[in-house]
Amino acid sequence: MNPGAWVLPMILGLPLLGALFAMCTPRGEHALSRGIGIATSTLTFVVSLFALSYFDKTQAGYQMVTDASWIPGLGVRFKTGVDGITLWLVLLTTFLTPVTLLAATRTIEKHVREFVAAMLVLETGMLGAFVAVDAFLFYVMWEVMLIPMYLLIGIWGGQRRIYASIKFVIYTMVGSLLMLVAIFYVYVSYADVTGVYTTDLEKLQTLVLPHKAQVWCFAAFALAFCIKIPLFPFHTWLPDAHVEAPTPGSVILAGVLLKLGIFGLLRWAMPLFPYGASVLAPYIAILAVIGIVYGALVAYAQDDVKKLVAYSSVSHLGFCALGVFALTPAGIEGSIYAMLSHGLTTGGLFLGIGVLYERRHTRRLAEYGGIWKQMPIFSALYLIIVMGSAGLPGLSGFIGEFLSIFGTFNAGDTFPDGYPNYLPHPRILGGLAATGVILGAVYLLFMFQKVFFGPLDKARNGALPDLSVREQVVFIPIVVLIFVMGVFPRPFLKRMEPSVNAFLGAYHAKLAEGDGPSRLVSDEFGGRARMAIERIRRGGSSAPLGTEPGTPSAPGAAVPPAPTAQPVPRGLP
Amino acid sequence: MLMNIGYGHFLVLAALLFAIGTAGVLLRKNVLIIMMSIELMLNAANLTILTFARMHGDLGGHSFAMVVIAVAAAEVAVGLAIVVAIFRGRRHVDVDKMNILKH
Amino acid sequence: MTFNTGDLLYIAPFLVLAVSGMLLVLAEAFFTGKDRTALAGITVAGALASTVVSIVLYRHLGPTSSRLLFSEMLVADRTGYVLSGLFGVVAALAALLAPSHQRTHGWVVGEYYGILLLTASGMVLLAQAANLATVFLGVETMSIGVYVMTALRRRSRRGNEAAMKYFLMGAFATAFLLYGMALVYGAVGTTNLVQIQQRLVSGNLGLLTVGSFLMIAAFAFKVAAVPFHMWAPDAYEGAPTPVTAFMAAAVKAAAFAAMMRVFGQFMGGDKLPYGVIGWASPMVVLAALTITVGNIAAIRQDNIKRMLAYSSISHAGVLLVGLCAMGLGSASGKAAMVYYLIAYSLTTMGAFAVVSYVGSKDNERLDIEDWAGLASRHPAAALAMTVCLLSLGGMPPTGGFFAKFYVFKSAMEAQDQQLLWLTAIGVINSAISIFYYLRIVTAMYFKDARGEIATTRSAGLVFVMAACPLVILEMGLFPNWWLTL
Repeated sequence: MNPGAWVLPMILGLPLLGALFAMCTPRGEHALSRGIGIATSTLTFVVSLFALSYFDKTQAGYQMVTDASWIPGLGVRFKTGVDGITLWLVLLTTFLTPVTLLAATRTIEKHVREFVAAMLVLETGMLGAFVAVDAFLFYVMWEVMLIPMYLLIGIWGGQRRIYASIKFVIYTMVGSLLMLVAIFYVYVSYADVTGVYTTDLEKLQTLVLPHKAQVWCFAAFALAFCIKIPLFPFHTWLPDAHVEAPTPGSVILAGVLLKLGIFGLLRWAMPLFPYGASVLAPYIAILAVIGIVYGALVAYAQDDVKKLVAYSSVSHLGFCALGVFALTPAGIEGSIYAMLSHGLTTGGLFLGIGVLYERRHTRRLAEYGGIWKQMPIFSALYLIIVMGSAGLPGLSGFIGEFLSIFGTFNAGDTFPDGYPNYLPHPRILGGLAATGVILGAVYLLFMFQKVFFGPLDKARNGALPDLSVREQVVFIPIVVLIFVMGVFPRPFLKRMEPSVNAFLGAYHAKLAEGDGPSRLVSDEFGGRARMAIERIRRGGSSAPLGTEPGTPSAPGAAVPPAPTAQPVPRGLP
Repeated sequence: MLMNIGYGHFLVLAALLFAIGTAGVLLRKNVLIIMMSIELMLNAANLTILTFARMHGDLGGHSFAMVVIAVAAAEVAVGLAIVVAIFRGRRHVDVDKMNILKH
Repeated sequence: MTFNTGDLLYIAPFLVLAVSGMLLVLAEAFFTGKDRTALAGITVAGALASTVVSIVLYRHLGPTSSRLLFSEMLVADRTGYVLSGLFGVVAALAALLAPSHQRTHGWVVGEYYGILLLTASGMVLLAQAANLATVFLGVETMSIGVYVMTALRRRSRRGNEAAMKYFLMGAFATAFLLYGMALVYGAVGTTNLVQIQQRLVSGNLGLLTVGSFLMIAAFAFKVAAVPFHMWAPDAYEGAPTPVTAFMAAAVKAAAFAAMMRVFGQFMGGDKLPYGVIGWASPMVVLAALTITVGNIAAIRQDNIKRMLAYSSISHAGVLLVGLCAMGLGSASGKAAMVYYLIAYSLTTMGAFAVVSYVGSKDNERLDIEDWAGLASRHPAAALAMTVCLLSLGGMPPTGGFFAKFYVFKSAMEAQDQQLLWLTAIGVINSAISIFYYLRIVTAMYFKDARGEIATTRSAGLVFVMAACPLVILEMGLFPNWWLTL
């Protein structure tokens, strides 16, 4: 009846079990601890592939649902499930964790068992936050991620690690606690309306709050998520955290943790408070564009490679946020795709920096040059990762950025009361974001050139060994996936599509409920949602799916943008 | 002139005693005097209780007052023991000079 | 007035504690040797026996039934037994902490154990009080015992000073409590809480308001709520660590048990029945001040015991939120308070257990900097402390998180504008509090140790250090059973 229900509890439990085993290994048995870490996380990855095979790509709702009683007194359930949006993020997490653990063999040499345990607990926290369909469970998992990351930065980090770790925790906590207040508000309002206490997202989603409350609650959620993304001007913790974190910490931070911000908006903030989202969306979109351009410019000015990549994350995540708030199918699918791609490429970039740092113990651009001659295999692989990150057509980065900018261009008619005319037109936003793509190519290639080309004039760069077999095992899967995602986007997008359409349908239908006291959605909700989905389908805004990658002109011409995002009129019969 | 002394007078007297006791605790520096002031406050409260007990014709109040007297005696015994311990250590009992612990 | 011997059964937890306490005081005279560890064993047995009796009575009594004892002086109900069971457990834990600490820091005093149980008996009295007279008796039995325990390190100047300050402030508060009770008595003509509840509407409003405000002020002293908190950091710092643990965990919980009885149950109930303001509005202000000031002051502390003192002040603030919710008619207010008290008490015991574990003769290691590198030298202790600190800071998946969650939920449930604001303040303060709790974690994990860290070991101490974090985690992960208490 519910095939594959075992998969999600399994991928949540396995890392925890591994962490427990790792902590039980004798101190000093580093190889054993590492082995346990790599084995359990690889096993988790294998199990998560079952999720892919069980996944029904025609379904929009949650699949492989586990729904167990947890705290009946409060209506809290242990409810997990994946849909087209989560599926890929879960896979990204389970993929990156073993890769990172393998890469960390040389990087982390003290307190190894604690490191393995922290990484595995972190994995459970991240996966739990992705698959939770219960507000309480989500919040718990969201906080569970915090402590291992704090320890990763604080114990294995660089010079200013204490400052960076505290800053990371405080920023995240402030946001998430305001989110908690909003969760309380929804929780209690739902009980007022129905008399039943529940934290089940699927039930809470049927609650329509008054407009004013929606704006406040959305702001509280959005603050938590915008700090996580991180959106300009809440990004200042990120460069510190990245620079001080050890390579594995940076990889997981950039690769997965930041995605939770965007994911949270899609899964929690927008479905619960669509009106709030529609009011604040333009502002967030503006911040996203500022982030794209600002991140790119600051990245260009960096001498520290890690800082450069950190700021590039600010820029890239801006695309993801922009895509979400375009509120078009293309924009959202592009956003998710860009997240996946960013997870791979930025993870790869950080891993590469780790490789260099292990050999040279410096992250200053000026210290490098001519590395290609010494490390040809590494350089070639790194070039592909850099290109993927820069958005070269044919590689993974291109699809996501293209789709989200494309979606933004067509966003004009999405907003319920018309797009506020004192804000920049979405085409202007899209145009500005597009310059971010160019800037991205500039600073990444600039970085690549400084490090790998040029004369080999620094004596200490003279005897660097190329990648070992272990390191090749780390990099090759990443590079292969960057290619695959760049050339065959269809299988990925196909599985997202129903969920994204359903998300937008429900969003527009709930928006059409209008203002009023707290209540459940009206009877017309289902019909409106179906109509909205139908419009979206007919609008064919997922047209880019069918086209060949690397031919940007085709989709732009093919899609009549207007019906795509037409909001369902207020007084729909 | 003869004054008719009623419940009100007792209550006001008790309130005054309580206020004097409070002032004593807040203003005096010597621990012994402070303890005496606290006793004054307790007894003011006792007087209030007894007045009200009389007013309401309730025996419970009387027994309450007895309990309070017993408890207050125990409290003072402990307090004096602490004062003695302090005095042994520093040869004074001035609260203003007790500032080893950080503020 | 009749004396119903059958009622004695229902105060068995109190009797067990009081009798074994008195026996211990006597037994102490026969222990001529240096070693008082056997006394600790008897204490643990007595305290746990009282807990077992509480559990038995809890099961004996129906889920909703309650029974008034001794001419309505005491009441037997499930909440009372849950809390008296908790006091028994905390007393046992405090007894386990003591022997090694006494030996290491040179204050081998056998009276500690007897007084500990007598103090606990006062707490049980508070949990079962149904009359202002028994409330007063309970408060005093408890407080006098704790004054003595604070002063047990006779030769320590800090200890004496702490005891003196604690005593003076406490006695001062007692006077206010009594005067407040006197005025309430005047307003309604009875000290019986059940009858007070019935007469609240007809009583003299002025006397009632002034009286209950004075009582609030006095209780605020006892639970160290701002602005009546000045004694707490000094007393906590100066008292021997096991006593501090007992003070922070049990004394505070018992004072709240009394407040729940007096204000939550009898003088509150379903919305405050008297006056325009009732007692909730001043309590809300008190709660907001307490949470905020406690937290902000804690940030500046370098001494771990003082920091934990300020943290316990801010926890008192959160408990006051729960109390307001309870008084303003929130259905889950009582359960939230009980859960919070259990989680908070066990967490505090665990944290102070680690504090007394770290430190050796002539070096108590109470500065945060002294804890640098603890994680690499004593990983288990550091882990236990981390779990306790995270629970204090309200991070999932610990009991502390769920406790806050539940209290704030019940506050929102009361549908009162001021409680909405209070919840927001409370939540924001949680973020602030993380900062100083993490200072200790930072020191333990991120800094390097300067030399060896000698510790105070004993089986009892290690047991407390292991058991408390485990229970806290269990409470956080599977809170449902605890909610049904």
